[in-house]
Formats: sequence, structure tokens, C-alpha cells
Amino acid sequence: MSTGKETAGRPSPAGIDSSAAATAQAFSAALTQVLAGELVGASDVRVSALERTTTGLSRENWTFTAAWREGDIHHSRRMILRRDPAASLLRTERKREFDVLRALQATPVPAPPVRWVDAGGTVLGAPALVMDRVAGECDWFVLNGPRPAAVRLALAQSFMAILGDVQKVDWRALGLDDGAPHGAIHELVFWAAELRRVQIEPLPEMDLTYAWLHQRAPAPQAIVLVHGDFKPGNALLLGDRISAMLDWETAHLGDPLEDLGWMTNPVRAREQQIKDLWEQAEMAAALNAATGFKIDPVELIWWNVFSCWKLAVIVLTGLQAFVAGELERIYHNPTFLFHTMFRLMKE
Amino acid sequence: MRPTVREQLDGVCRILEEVIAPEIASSHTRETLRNLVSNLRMLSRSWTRLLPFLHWDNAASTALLVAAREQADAPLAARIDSTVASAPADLADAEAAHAYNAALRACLSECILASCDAVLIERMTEHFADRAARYPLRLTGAQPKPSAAGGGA
Repeated sequence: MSTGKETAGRPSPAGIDSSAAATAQAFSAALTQVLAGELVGASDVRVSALERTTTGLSRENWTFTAAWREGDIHHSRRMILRRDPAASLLRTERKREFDVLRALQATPVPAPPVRWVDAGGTVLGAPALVMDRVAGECDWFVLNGPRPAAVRLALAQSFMAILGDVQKVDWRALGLDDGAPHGAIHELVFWAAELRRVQIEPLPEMDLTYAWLHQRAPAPQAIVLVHGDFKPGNALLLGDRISAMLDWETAHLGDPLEDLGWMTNPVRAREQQIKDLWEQAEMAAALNAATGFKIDPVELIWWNVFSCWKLAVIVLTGLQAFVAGELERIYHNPTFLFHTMFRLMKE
Repeated sequence: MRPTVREQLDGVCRILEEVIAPEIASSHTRETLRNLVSNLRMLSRSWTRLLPFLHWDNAASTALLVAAREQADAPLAARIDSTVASAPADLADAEAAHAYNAALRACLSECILASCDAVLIERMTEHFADRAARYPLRLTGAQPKPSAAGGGA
């Protein structure tokens, strides 16, 4: 595994009509065939209730029910298809996401069971994968929702415990080693290349911040599995328990402080923190207790600034794709991130 | 000039919400329409502030470039001179003001990458923060709704 975000090849659609109804019909037929081949010993495979959800800013998410028979036993399971759209905020590979998800099945990390991947997009017109749909509800702002403070704090601690489990994953033993260099400078260089790819106007704010980051990039104390977008919005809750962490498409190897820097980024405080109960100091202490990794405050600020800057690159990717006529959503210059970046750089 | 630009944009939003949206069955398409209406409302509120913003930013960027010129090598100093001198004659020409803004900001990027001193970088940072605060084309941001699928950057 390298950065986990390289360019995914985009084959031309294989006879898939672009209208919604025709697409759903074609996908149902294709998925039926795929699952008939994947489900060992299964017969009478049927796909129904296929519907594109409104969620997912980087991939198309389609939910459906798969039913099949094994001898006299009838099975029915909710599944989800994640498919690359014509344009996306993130360029990632479904095969890499599949490999990570499959590897995580042997760990305590709650990740959805993955069934099938079409890395080349030969079946559904674009790269795609199919996972079981884990029971639970997603709530981006659960940490500041109506639950009692003690429950919200326990959930926050559970999120951090899961991050600790992610960082303790033996990625070499699970076949996720790619031998490539990892850490702050490599992430910075990768995302700088993304910025140059999508930039359609001068952005001296981004250049100024890049120069600051480049001069101060810390060396990693260890290399761990990084989720890349670790947040409540990528988790499923069953009651007051986390049933699954989702969206492993940006998972890669990197610095133990990278996910923590993303989580403690001040612009996401409403999603990730609980005022006076679960702020940066508590989060850092919890991760340190779970993993033993040293949390250097100066390095953490570097990762906070990087998180803002990387998020700005992602928004600019959406902006470019919209202007190119490839995205159904309008993105604007990420000025809301600049102020926070500059304030953090002064600290 | 009636309906005004604002009246037209607000009217389009009303028709989209009251006439078109109720006829849409797909939740994905309804969500897409909701985002488009939010953007039209933002344009309705902010379009009159665009030209004054560009004039303010162009003046501030020019001042920064004049200061950066003192630290620039000869080729960069020449590019700063020619860029600053290309200011549009017609102040009411919004497209020319926008093009001039892009040229000035490209020059600022060059100065940053060529390594200005810390004092000038601090001045630039302050201006960029001020610019971000005044930037007219900003959505207040719709919150994502809870769902069972999750996801999104």
C-alpha cells in the first residue's frame, strides 16, 4: 500500500445508461450476476430495493437487499455498493479500500464485511465494491447531540479506543506493506500534487501555508495504519455503541498523529469535541494511553494546519470538478479554512 | 430595472422550491435541488458586493507587491511592475477587475515561493485572513443529515 489515494483509472461505461432508472435496473442485473459468482453454494440470487442514497460526498452509495438460497435455507442481507462517480472530491482506489477492509476483518476494528470489488470498473462502468450494510445510524454531530453528557463522553472515548486499535493493527502481517516511504513530508507532497492538479486560479494563501508546512514537517515516530477521515460522520451507531467505522477509502500508512490532527482540527470541533469534557488535551491523553505514542503539541499543531490545508485541497477538487461540469454540487473557495490555518500557524 | 437581479434570483428559488421540488421523487435529486437553491440565495445576497470586494483586494494586493518588489530579483521585479501596470482603465468592468485580481494574486504566489522575509509574510498573512473574512461568495453551509449510510469528506 502506498498513499492509498493514487489515481483510479476510469474506463468508459460498459453499456450502463446514465438515466437513474435505467442505471438502477442495469446495476441490479449486474449485481445479481456478481453475487451469484461470489456467494459460494448460493442459488436463486436476487437483488432488490436498489436505491442511491443522498450520503457520500466522494463516492456513489447504493443500498440494496440481496437474497439467496443455500440448500433449504433462505438468506436476506442488506448490502451497500460504493461506486466511483464521474467526478469526486477524492481520487482513491476501490481495490486498496477492499484490501484494507478485508485485512481489518482479522482485527478488533469494527469495519463492514466486504464482499466484492470491481477494481477496473468492467462490470458497473466504474470501479466499485460491495459491502454488507452494518446495522446502525450515522450522526455527524452525535458528540454534541441530545444524549446525556456522560453517554456522549463515553462515545467519544470509544471512538478514540477504536483509533487506538487502528494504530495497533499489524499492517505488515496483514499484507498492507508497500515498502514506500510514509509520514508528514510524503503526505504533504502528495496533497501538493493534488492541489496543482485541480487548481484553476492563483491561491497565494495555499502557497504560503504549504511553505510553512514544508519547512516544519516532522519525522514520524512510527508508521501506523491511518484512517484518513476519522470522525463520527464515518461511524455507525447502534444505540450508544459504535457498530462500524466506515469510509476506509483514504486509509494509508503514516504518522500516528495524522488522524489525531484531523480529529482535533478546530474547524471540526463541533463534530469531534465536547466543550470542557473532550477537547484536544483529553483526546491526546486518551490516544497516548491507548497506544503509548508520544503526542508532541508542536507536531500536533503541524497536523492541525495540515488537516485544514488538506481539507482545502479537497474542497478545491470539488470546485474544479463543478467548473468542469462534472459535479452536481457547487463548491466555493475554502476561505473558512484560511483563517484557522493562519491562527494555528502563529501558535 | 424591475425585476431586479435579486428579485429574479429569489423568484427562481421560490419557483424551484414550491413548484419543482414537490414533484421530485428521488431523495438524491431533492437534496441536489436543495443545495442549488441555497447557492442561488447566496448569490442573491452577495452579488452586489463582488465588485467593491475586488477593488479593495486589488488595492491591498498591489501594496503588498510594491513591498515585495524590494526583495525580488530582477526578473520577478519586472513581472511585478508589468502586472501592477496592467490595472484596468474602466473601474466598472467587473470581468477586467477579476482578471486583474487573478494576475496580482499569481504574482503574490511567486513572491511567497521566492521566499519573502518574515515581516512581509506576516503582512501577507494578515491580508489573506482579512480577505477570507470579507470574501462575498460564501455559503453558511447546510449541515449533513443523520443517515444509515454515513460517509463523506
